[in-house]
Amino acid sequence: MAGHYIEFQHVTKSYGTGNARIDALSDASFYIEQGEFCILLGSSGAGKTTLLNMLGGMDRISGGKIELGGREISSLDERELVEYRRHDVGFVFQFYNLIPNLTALENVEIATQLVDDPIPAKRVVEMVGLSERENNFPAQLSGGEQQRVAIARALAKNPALLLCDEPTGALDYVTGKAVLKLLYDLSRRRNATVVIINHNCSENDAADNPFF
Amino acid sequence: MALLLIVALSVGFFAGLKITQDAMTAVCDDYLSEQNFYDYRLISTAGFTEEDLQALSELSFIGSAEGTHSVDALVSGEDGDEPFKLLALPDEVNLPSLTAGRMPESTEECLADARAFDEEDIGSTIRISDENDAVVLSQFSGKEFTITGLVHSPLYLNTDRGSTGLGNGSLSGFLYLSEENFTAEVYTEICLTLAEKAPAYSEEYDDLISRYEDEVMAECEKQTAQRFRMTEAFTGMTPEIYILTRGENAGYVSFENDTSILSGVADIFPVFFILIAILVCITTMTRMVDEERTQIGVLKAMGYSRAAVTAKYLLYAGSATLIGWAVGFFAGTWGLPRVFWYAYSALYGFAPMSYLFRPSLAFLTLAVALAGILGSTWLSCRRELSGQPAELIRPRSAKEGKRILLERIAPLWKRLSFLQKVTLRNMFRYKKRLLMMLIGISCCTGLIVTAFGVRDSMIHVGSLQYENVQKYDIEASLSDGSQQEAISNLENTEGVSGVARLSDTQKRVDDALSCLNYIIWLIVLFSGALAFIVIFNLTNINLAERSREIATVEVLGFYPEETDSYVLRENLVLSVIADLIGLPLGTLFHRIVMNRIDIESMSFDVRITAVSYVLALICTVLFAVIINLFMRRQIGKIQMTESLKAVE
Repeated sequence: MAGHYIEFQHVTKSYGTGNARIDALSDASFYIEQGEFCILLGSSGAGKTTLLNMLGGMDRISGGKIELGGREISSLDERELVEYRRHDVGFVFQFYNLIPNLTALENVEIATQLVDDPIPAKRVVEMVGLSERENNFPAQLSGGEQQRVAIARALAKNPALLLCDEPTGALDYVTGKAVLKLLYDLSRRRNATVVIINHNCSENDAADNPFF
Repeated sequence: MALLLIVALSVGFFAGLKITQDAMTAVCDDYLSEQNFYDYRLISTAGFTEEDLQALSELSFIGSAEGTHSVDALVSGEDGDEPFKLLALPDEVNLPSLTAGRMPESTEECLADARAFDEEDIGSTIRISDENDAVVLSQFSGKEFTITGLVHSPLYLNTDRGSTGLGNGSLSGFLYLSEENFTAEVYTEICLTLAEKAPAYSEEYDDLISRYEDEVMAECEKQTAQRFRMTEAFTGMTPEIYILTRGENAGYVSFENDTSILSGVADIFPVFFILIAILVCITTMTRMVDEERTQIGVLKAMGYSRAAVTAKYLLYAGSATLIGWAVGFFAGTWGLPRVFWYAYSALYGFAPMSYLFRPSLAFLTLAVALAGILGSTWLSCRRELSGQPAELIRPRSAKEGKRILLERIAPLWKRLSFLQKVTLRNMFRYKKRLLMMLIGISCCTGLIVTAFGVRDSMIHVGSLQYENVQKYDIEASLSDGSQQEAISNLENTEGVSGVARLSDTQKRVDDALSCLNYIIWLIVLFSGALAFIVIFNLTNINLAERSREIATVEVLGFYPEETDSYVLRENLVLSVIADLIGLPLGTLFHRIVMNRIDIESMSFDVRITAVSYVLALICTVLFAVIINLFMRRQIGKIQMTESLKAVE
């Protein structure tokens, strides 16, 4: 098969040694094409977050290879990993992880000032429908609104890859659905490759490509 | 762990400083009583006879009495002739203490001043120079003496040996010869000690001395009258008798003066240490209890009473405090006096420092330490425990962001770069911590300024004091070469009670100042250590609370240097601000300290040079920079995946 956009080849990840060793991933192999909207499902402890972390350049694998767009992500050094995260990856967390001391707009700005070709912060905030709330601090926003800011932040960098770790986990059903829809719409427009970890089965109809 | 260290450091410094002056005075007092230092020293222009001595020793309040001979003479050495004071080796009063070699066993042997001679000189011979005039030469029956040992003399506690009419005018040292070597029939002086004892330098002592002084004088006069009634040849010449007390002994007086510097230092500096230490302890304890929130919640949920939970933490904090106190107190009260004594050893060092234990000090420091630590622990616990167990188990909600005052000044706010805005907001977000950092660092800068300022104030004492301040009845400037003659003429002139050479007193001041330098740097070091601990501690807390935020920023793709400055820039800004606040603060402290340092016959120009201010600034900034470097490593340790873990 010709090179896929994202490829995991026999990836293993272990923590600890000897008796205390935990194998988070063992011999994981799969691929994702560019522009796909991909949902990862699985029981707790299956290693989904670990997978995402590896793909996002936040942690190193113990064995195997990860490739993205022909580049071997797993062999990048520290500095290159930072570059990778900076330019190529946008991350959305379950618990938003916004900077409490910055307004919604500023939270997006902190991302846009990192790259050369961002989508202007105000524009992204508008895209997620929060223009009226852009000067509020996270503490003044609801869960759904915070997550939308987080998504705006991730998208503003114009990344090739959008990774979301249970983005709707802390939200109720209705809000969660809205957020997922937003993710879907926005990523289609940008043609970004999206990988989402999700618990909620009912939301998975949106996926092109659900993985178990 | 950090708590132990802080308690130990501040208790140690506080207790150590407080006790040093007393410890030094104690060493001196012990030495003087062991060597049976005189209480009265009688000098007569006609000398004293055996009968005089006998009469005086029979006075009821007198402990011991001894007559002695002392003659200034030129002594021949490798470098030519130098003037020395030759003393008769005493049996009872003003006993010298051996530092090397042995006591003389024959009349041809002598003891030498340990400051003027080395151990290599033991065994060599000294010789009373032929250059001495006939009067001087006739005072001695022997000419050559072998040095058998080196001694310290209680008569010369410091390095000042006094002046003379011989040679270059300044005595090079003293030598003890056995009494048989002195030909004079009368004693040059008689030294008395009282039967009743009182501690040196105390008010008690001064009362004692003044109480008996008149009786001693009366007895002398009685004796003199008796003696000279019988020899009519002495018509018209009434011998003059002087009673000198310890207050006329240069070494004794200097010691008190020189150690009084410590009282000034000991009053101000330790207080701040304790204050800052308590500050840090409060934050640390609050932090620790905070970290244990979940645990506390669980314990509460399980049914433990509030008292039981509090007790657990009190016990933990209490035992850490106890250990810290013990280590600090004993290390400080043992070590610090020794350090200062060593600093003074160029001038003094006549006996080794011994350990002085003051129960009141121990009790005080322990009480304060426990009160501080346990108090803050208890308060933090109370705050946490007032919450419901369920609430406690959930993590504390992050402090919400707020607009800071500065933002209202729109034109200014707009001009700032994004990251500058972040730094400012961060700084004001945690007001308590901001305040503590400011107080801690500015106090430290203030202390350093004070330390340098004390040095500045004293270093110019020499010239200023003697050019502008000291009141002489007559001040005479001498042209080169005529000094000795002029001095001996002066000393022999009627009405002149004493002649002091400018260069001698200058030298004495310079010597005292060299000790001071040592002390000053010690203080700077300690202040630095304190600043370090404050910044380190508070920054650590900062990091711990913001680890999630820091990890997020790293995930976003901040370079390590960007992350570092994101977190640490506020530290640097705060340090600089606190630094500037510390300068006027230091000026204030300085004034207070200089007021406390009260040295007889000296007044100080209370000043701080610009250099000192700059130095203090540099020191504090240096410490901040070092800590920042250290902190970068700590930031590096924050693992993204760990910090961002979902809270299940």
